[in-house]
Parts: sequence; structure tokens; C-alpha cells
Amino acid sequence: MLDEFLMALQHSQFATWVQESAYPVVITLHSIGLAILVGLLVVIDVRVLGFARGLPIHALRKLMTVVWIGFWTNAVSGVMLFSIDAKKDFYSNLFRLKLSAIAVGLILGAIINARVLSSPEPYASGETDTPIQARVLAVASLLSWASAIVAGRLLAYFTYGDVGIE
Amino acid sequence: MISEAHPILEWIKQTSIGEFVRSSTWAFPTLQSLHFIGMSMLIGIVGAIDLRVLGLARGLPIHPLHRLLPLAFIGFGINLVTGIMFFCHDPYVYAFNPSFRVKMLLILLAGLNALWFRLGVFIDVDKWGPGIEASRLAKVISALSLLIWIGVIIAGRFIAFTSSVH
Repeated sequence: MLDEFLMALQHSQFATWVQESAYPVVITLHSIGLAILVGLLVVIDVRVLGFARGLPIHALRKLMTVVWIGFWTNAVSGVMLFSIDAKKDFYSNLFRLKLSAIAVGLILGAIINARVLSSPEPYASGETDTPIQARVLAVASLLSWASAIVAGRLLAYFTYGDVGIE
Repeated sequence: MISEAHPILEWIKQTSIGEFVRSSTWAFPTLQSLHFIGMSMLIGIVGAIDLRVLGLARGLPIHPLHRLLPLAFIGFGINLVTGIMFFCHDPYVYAFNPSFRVKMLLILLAGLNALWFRLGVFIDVDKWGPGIEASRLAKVISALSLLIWIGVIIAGRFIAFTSSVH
């Protein structure tokens, strides 16, 4: 039933259109979205880690709007890319790792946004060091996005997405 | 057309770097992962500065944002090294590829554009504290910067689609 759905998606007119016509544009948008999403989160996370203390932490919240633009660019382009290889991707451990890393990254980003960037504590204005809990969240966020990138890249090179099977 | 050996490209291909990248199925995907991580660091930080200059997240003072530039240079360094390794992997794929040539030209333009910011408007950066609008010239340079870096991503992605060597 699930396999039938995946195969139907993969053989749909939509997937064929993506593969034959839209692919270069879609994969390019996926890279631009990545640079926006992960790049701006890097800025936020390294500030939380204590770099560039002259930057008021609460002012970083405005960057979150742009982070979401990057995220939705990649959610939409990602679904389009998934449709081409639906069955292969669905059963790939690398694909599952990538999606898990993205889920963890999003949750950490939401926590950092709600607890750290919106904090009324003096550290938000750079007067004192950020608390250790905030730094742990920032490091975990950087690691989860790096994992998502690595898993996504490996996915393009290992046919079944499972390392060792080519 | 490009099937005959070219002395310089052949020498580059035979370097130990080229041999190393070709020797393992892991090398290329790993280098690609690093190239995307470096891209996120570089374009995320430069993009954040550009967005602030253009008026987004005005609560961020521009001068301390520049404190993040060393991290952007680390991203650039990662991509320079991994990029050279891709080139050595198979110089014939890149040397004659129009997208690769456009990408290199755009990176050069991005560098000159950043130099223009440094020499033309950086002297005023101290004045652009929280909530203060940057000058018209700074906005023009930042808008160009964003467009050029997006162009670099597009050209980089299109290397795979404009290759005459397989």
C-alpha cells in the first residue's frame, strides 16, 4: 500500500515534469534555501556562543523571518526532489537521518528563538556571558544542521542512500 | 573536442591531490559536504551583513556584525581548498565548463564588490548603530553582494548541467 503510493508518486506526471524539466532549477533553489536557512542560523548560533557580543541578541529575532523563507523554499523544493526518487529515498537510512537532523534542528531553533533570543536577561544585550544552557543549544543546533547537510550530500552519491550499497 | 590531453590539465590531474580524490568513493561526497558547510558560513554571514545594511533587523549595529567576518573567511578557505580538490579530481570537467567560468568570474566580482564596501563605505560603519539607516551607496553595494552570491550558487549548481565531459 505504502510502496504503491511511493511508486505512484514517482511515476506521476508531476514527478516526470520535475525530472525532465524543472530539476536544475529545483536543485538550485534547494541550495539557495540551504544557504539562507543554515547560514543565518550560523549567525544566530555563533552570537549565542559568545562571538560578536556587540550584537544585541533580541535583534537577531528579525533574521528568523528570513530563516523561515529559506526553510519553506527547501521544504517545497525538497518535496519535489523526493517525488523523483520517492521509493529509494523513503527506504534510505541517509534520507531518514537527514529528515531527523532537520527535525531536531527546527526544534532547537524554536527553543533558541523562544528562550534565548526573547530572553529579558542582561545577557541578551551583551552585558554578561550567555548561560551554558543557551550555548549547549547553539552547539547542538550547529551540529544538527551540519549533519543534515552531510546526509543530504551523501544521499546524492550513494545509490541506495545506504553507505556501502552502490 | 576536449578528448585530447592538455599538458597543464594533465599535470593537475596527475597531482597527488587529484589521485587522492579519485582513489576513494568517500572523498568526493565528503568534500562536497564540506563545500556546502563552507558555503553556508560564508554566504550566511555576508548575507546577514547585507540584509542589515539594506534595512532588515535594524536593531543590529553594523560594526559588530563585521566581527563575524573571520568566520566567513574560514568558510571561504574551506571552499577554496575543497574547490581546488574538485578541480584536481578532473580538471577537464571544469576548465571548459561555461558555468564554472561564470562562477569564478562572479566570485572575483564578489571580492571586488566587498573591497568597494571596505574602501568606499566602511569608514561610516561605526555610525550605523542600532536602528540607524545605512547610506544609499552601502545599500547598493549590499544589494549587489546578495545578487552576486546567489549567482555564485546558481552557476555552481549548473556546472553539473553544462558539462561537455562525462
